[in-house]
Amino acid sequence: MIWGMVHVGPLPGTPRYENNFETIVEKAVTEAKLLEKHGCSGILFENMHDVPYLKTFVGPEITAAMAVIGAEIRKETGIPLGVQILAGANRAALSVAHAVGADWIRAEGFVFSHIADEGMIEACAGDLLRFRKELGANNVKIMADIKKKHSSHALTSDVDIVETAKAAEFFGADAVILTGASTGQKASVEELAKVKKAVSVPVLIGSGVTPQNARDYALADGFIVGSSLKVGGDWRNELSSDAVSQIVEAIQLL
Amino acid sequence: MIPKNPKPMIGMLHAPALAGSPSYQGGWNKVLPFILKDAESLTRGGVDALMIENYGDLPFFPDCVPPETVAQLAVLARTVKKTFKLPLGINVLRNDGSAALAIAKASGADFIRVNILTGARLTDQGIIQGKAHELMRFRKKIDASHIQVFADVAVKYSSSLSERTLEAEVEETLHRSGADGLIVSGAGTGKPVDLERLKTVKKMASSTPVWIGSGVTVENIDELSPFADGFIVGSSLKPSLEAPIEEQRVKKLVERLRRGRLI
Repeated sequence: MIWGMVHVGPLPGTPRYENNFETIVEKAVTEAKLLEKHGCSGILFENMHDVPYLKTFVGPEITAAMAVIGAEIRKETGIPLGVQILAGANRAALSVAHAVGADWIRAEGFVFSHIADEGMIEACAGDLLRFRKELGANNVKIMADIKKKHSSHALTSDVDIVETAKAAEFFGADAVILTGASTGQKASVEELAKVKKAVSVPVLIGSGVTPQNARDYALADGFIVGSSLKVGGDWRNELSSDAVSQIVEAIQLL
Repeated sequence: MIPKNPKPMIGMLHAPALAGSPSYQGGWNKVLPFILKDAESLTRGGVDALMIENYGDLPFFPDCVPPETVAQLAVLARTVKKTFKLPLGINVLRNDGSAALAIAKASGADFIRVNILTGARLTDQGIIQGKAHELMRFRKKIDASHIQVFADVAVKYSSSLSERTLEAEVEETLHRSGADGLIVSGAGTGKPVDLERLKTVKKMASSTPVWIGSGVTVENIDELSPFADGFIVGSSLKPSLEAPIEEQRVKKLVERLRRGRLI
């Protein structure tokens, strides 16, 4: 499974918004179609440019904007769709996924706690899965970050990645995600081997996969690629169809 | 924007119970076709604009609605707007003007309705306080200044907490809260407005449009028409509140209104 990221432009109400909402929608749809055309097997869209991120709760302007973008992508593409709302706004993400008929959400802070650049993020699994049931949205699956990037995990230094993965599986995650230290940074190959042995849910690599290093992750069940789809391998740059084809081919060879 | 026709008619799209609300029976994927069908009946019947409302979500939250309501209404509104091209309004019951603006902005809608924009009223959801101060700042913040805010004056299903004159309420709603339109309603959904109250509001409102927000029927529209700039109609267009809108009823009401205009 190769999840291609759509990093939607800065949304209304956020510091970098440029009074161009309809352009943002069109660009997200164009990028999603390009990812599908060049071989990605899923699309994950995210409010990546809304920096600095709010913690856990976003306003209705973000939920509504992401719902509209998701609905437009869903209409124009036919592969599985996932949504992530930063930072850790997992209820909003689940609401959007339900409303647009998406298949997955990517959830940060699913089990345990960590200090992210937004502050302290606490486990949400109990609340989130009850909410999913209330909505009648049990068909929406959850891929959970464990010991995620952009975070300090000193609080859980006595709990290793394997125990964290097991906890996420026990609490109902449908997949777990391993990442490096930050966006574009590679995940640990050793950790992948250990986690794969410990859990039966799919293990995804969530950052730093490139055409050059993809073979190191042959054990992984799936990949979430973002930076490596862009010009120069930087998530802030434009999407490049050549880059998409290259990373897709490299992963398909595994 | 507001319809260009003189005395335009806004047809209500009452959304059935949405996921997360007590009366929701499952089947979110059936809600959109239901709304689109109603929108089609209203459009073919000749209304000038549409307004979508989370009418099935009883009992209503007094203020902020949860994200699942926002997401579902956003998807419904976007699809209606893209399909029918008519001016579109959003009302998030009972009084979440910010959610309504957010949905309007994302879906490309044109106006919102706010039940209590200013002051405070005792409602079936408890005491609700107007939040014009937040709403108007939020509208600017999310690049939505083009979206008009229609505000009820002494809205249905509520009573005043203090002795205020209708004149004072109109004055504050218009000049201190910045409403782009005023709505006068009766005591409840489908209940006719009081003609004297309507006349008072209309006189006070000067150039700001005054809409009638409940109880407009084929029988009373001629009498009301001279004192209103437009009509918001819903319950009289269907046999019961949960039933689909009947195109014939829409046509009859629109024809009655247009005939009235020519006289």
